[in-house]
Amino acid sequence: MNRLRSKILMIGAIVVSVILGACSSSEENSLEKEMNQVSTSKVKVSKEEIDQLIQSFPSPIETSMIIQNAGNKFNSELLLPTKKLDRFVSSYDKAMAMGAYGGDMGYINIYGKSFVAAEFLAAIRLLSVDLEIDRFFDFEDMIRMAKSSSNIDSLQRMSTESFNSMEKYLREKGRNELSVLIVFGTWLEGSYIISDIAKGNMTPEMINRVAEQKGSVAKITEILVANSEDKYFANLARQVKPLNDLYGKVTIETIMREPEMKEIDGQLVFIDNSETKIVTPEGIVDEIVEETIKLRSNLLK
Amino acid sequence: MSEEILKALMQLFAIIYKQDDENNDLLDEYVKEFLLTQISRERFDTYFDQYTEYINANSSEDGSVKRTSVKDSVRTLVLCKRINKTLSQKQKSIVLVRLAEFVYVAENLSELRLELLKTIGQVFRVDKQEYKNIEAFSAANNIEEVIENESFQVYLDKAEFNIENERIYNKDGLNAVSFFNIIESEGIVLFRYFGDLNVNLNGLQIKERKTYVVNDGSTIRTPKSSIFFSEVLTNFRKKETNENILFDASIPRYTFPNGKVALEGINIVEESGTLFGIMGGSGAGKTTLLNVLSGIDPTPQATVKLNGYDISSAESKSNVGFIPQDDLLMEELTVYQNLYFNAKLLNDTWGEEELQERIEKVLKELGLYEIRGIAVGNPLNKKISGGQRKRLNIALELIREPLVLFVDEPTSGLSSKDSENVMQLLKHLAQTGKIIFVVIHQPASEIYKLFDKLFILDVGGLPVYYGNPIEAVIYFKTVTNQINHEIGECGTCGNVTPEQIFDTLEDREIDDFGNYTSERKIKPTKWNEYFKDKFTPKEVDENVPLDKLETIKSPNLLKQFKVFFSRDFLSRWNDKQYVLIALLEAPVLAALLSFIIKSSNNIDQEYILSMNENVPAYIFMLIIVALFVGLTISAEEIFKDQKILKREKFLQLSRLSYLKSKAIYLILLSVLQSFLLCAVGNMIIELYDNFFYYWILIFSVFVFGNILGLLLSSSFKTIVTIYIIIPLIVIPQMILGGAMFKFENLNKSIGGGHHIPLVSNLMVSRWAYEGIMVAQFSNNKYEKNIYDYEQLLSDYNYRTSYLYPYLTDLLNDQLSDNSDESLKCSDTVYNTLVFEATKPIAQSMLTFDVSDHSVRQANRFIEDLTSLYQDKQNELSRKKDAKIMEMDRSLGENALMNLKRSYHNDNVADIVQNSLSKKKYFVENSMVYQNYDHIFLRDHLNEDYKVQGSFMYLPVKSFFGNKISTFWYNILIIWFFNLILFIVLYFDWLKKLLDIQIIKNKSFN
Repeated sequence: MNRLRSKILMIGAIVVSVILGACSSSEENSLEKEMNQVSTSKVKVSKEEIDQLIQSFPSPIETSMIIQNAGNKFNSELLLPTKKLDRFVSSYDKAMAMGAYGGDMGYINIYGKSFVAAEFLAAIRLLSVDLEIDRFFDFEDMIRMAKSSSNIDSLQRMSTESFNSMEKYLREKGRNELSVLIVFGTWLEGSYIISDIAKGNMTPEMINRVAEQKGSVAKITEILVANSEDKYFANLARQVKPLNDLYGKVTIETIMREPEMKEIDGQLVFIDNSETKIVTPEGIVDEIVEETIKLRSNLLK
Repeated sequence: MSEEILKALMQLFAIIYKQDDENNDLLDEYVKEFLLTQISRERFDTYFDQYTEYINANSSEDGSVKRTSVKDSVRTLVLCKRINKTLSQKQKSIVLVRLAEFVYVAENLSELRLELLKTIGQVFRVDKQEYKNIEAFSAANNIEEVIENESFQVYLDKAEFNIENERIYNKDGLNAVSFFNIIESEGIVLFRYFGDLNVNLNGLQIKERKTYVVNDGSTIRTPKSSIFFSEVLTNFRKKETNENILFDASIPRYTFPNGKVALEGINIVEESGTLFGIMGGSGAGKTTLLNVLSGIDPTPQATVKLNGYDISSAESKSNVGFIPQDDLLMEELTVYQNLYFNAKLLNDTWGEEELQERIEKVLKELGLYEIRGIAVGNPLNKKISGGQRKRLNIALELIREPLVLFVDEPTSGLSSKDSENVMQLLKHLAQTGKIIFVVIHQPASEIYKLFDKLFILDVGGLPVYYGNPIEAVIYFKTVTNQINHEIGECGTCGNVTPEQIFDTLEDREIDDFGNYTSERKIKPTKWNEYFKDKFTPKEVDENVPLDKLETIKSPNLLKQFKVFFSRDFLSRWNDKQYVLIALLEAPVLAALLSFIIKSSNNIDQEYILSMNENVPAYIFMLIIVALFVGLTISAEEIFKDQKILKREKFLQLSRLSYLKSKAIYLILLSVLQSFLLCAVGNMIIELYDNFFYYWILIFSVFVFGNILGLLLSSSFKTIVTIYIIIPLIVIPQMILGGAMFKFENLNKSIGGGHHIPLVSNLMVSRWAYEGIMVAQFSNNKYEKNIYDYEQLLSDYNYRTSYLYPYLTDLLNDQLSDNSDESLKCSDTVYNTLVFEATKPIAQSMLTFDVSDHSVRQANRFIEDLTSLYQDKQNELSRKKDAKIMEMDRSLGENALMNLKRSYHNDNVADIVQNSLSKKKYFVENSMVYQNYDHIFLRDHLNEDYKVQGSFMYLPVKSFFGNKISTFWYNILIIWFFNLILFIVLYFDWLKKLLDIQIIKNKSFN
């Protein structure tokens, strides 16, 4: 009997020690304690900066128009691979990749390749889940649309709207830097696609389109440099700098003229007579194109 | 008598003859008579001629016979030596008996002849005392000489002779002085008588003064009395054995649980040295009677006593053996091992040496010594013969030398030769002073005659006969007035036909057309009345002192456990096929499973664990395999031992020790099997992390399967039922395990929805699956680094993205008709906010007045909370990014990504985070609850988070107020199940429940 009792005690002791070993005593872990302290960090990218950036960037639709006009065939090699999304580890990586996939979506939509679109939507969905902004997408609807090519217009509109609201939400939420990176990703992917098309198609219009990016590059460089106390941004700034330098050789002159006032249909209308003159030294656009391709392959793999 | 004995006898007769001239005519006459009783008249001449030839061959030329010569002595020796080589000791003894009779035929004794007889006795190596008795038995010429000799047993009618002597047995109306001698070493009983000329031996008239060898079943009958061989033998045994057993049973009426009368009016009183046969038609209650008598079915309706001890007392049990009809052998063990483990369990006081001595003794006694090293095998895959099996079964009981032995149908399924051997063995045992009860069905004549007592039951458990077996035939014939009713056995062949008894007993009436009707001529009750008239129960003499019974000590629980365990282990280990399958089953299944599902959702050839979509299914399959293999490997364990278990229960061995040995044997096997299963599976699928967690959990499931299997095995009656039941157990485990069907999508009436259905909580698969999934997700080398961040981020994000916007919507809905902000807000909003206010971060930074139910405060508080959590969320996600980049820097480029690819699994993450669900929250009892990311949830630990039921994949659970990780919590639950199952198994509750059902159903019928 005694033996039995001691056995029971022993088993009891083991069970208790297992339970205690498995229990953690404190309610909060150290990270949580730290977070419950009054916050000292500040918002990095300011709201004004980002607003300016958005305005100076061409919208994905505008980018699409250029491509459409060039008349090239659809080339899936250009797109950022959608497999192995786990290569984007940090939320910065993810935001940039998401932007890039958004850019790719634009390219795909131009050609109406809805079957490819589904794959990219899935990638965007996964990244947006990680970034906790997935509620701005109605993926089921979008994927359903992607399955029939007749809905491609609605799909394009929906994805643009989703991107916009997402990016807007991030800004509202105070995550401007992610917003910047999404925009940057979209821009970079768009620029890359244009550059690739431009390589074999150096029409004056195309040269102008590439050169026009000068303002955007300058703006992005400015924001990146301003936030370069963050190592990620510092790295981006460093990588973008050569491109910005190349754009430095491009001059965009705006010939200011007095606006003209005209009466049209009994209404008074101002007409802006200012003209933009783009001067590109010989070969500089080729260099810019090369540099853009290089930048994209460095930053987005 | 064989030709060889006859030949030898003729020669010896001749030599003895020559020793003297006295009474040669008488001797010749004896030889003639002897030959005529042994052989046919045709062959008589051959042998008699031989006899005379031998005599004359040695006559000298003058015609006179030479007296003892050296030549004769040498011849005698040579002859005897030859006989020594050809005849068995028993045959030699008979030869000696005949020679002695021959010598004493002469009226005047010849010293020379006696001398020669003595020499022959010596050469035949007959025991001196036995020789003396043989000689004296032939020499006895009158009653006085017979009575003087203490070795003889005498029967006479005491009224006639007026002699008082203990060794003399009284037989009223016996007109003959009958006396018996026993040649103990060979079990030969000799008989002679003086007196009446009308004496029958086995139905044949016999002569006065002649010596007869009496055998099993022999009856000596005079017109008014009879002597049975069995009583003679019993009386001989009484003298030599000290055992004095009295078995006294009285069963006035014994009823089955359903009220049916099984036995009625049975009184049995028996003493040592009885082979007691119980016969009866099918369904008459023979086995029931045996069970009641042996105490296997202890009942207050019967009084059964052994030497005054109740049959269920420890003293009685120690001295009672029971041999059921079925085998009690462990198939894979050898004959010796079977006896060895059995003996170990029987008596604790025997040392190893004594044990081996006893086993060897029994083996030799039962003629099993030569086959002691052979595995027993099963009846289909025979390794030892049926007779040997039966003898081994008997040996199991004999090792402890019981005084009373109960044997149920020992001859069923045996050849007639084997049957006879087995019954001879039982007879021999009875002769050593035991009481042996044997239930037997239609025995052959030879076997029937072995019984000392016969008890016949008729339908309804009514006794119709109790007494000598040969007399039984006569009794039944007499009652029904058949012809030759005084003859019990065939006059010429000595055969008895027990079938006659049943033919008479069950004889049916004939209708007008000459067909048999279903009505008996004499009903069982009528037979029983005859029985009551004729047979009066034997009085138990209260004054006769009875031996005290000794109890044997069973080994203690630990020792029993050890014996059970080594028996199980050895019996399994001997079965190579079993060993191979038991060890290979798990790894082969694991290899098959993991190899087939080793694939990643990836265009490259490269295999990446994190992208293997099958990992959750793999985990679930491991559990199902464990359950299934665990179940099947144990499902037969107890079942195949059922008969042995019955016997061990009878021996009062511990069921706990038995079950523990089974369980521990299976647990050890499961340790190995689970290790192989997880090791092989995880290795192939490249799940290198968390092996210990997999192992211990899969092992726990294995044990669950094992104990459940044991439970089935002990509760169901056929092996087929057990195997049919297995899917019935495994499939609900699959359906309700949470892996194949999401709980959300289950039928609401079983509790599907946001919580785990109650019935799922009874499934071990659900606990196991949750346990591994949670451990796999949160405890791997990748997730460990960022779990805390993700947990807190999930917490913040749920609030800023779903909870607060939803609450705002609710408030806006309320305000759409009315813009009065002092309105009382809905309970859902209020309760949820009260809970939110209790969070430490909100408490320290924001204010919330619990007494204020207004929409105004609610709105304000939600805004404050949103901005607080948004800030925190931004801050934390930056911290997390910083940590990731820091790790990338310190561990090298892409270190975290590689960790993630090797240790994380996206599909496991999707499932435990419920990230595919659209419903991120739900409302219940006026409170909003989180419906995703339960793997990060901690709110449930707060008492105010009064969610009904529980969620799947929580990271920690509350255990009596303590936080305990889900993995260990679930392990505890599984072992709790295991414990409960073991208790149910120990008390046999399932079996009892099933039995109750069966009895109920029967009573309905």
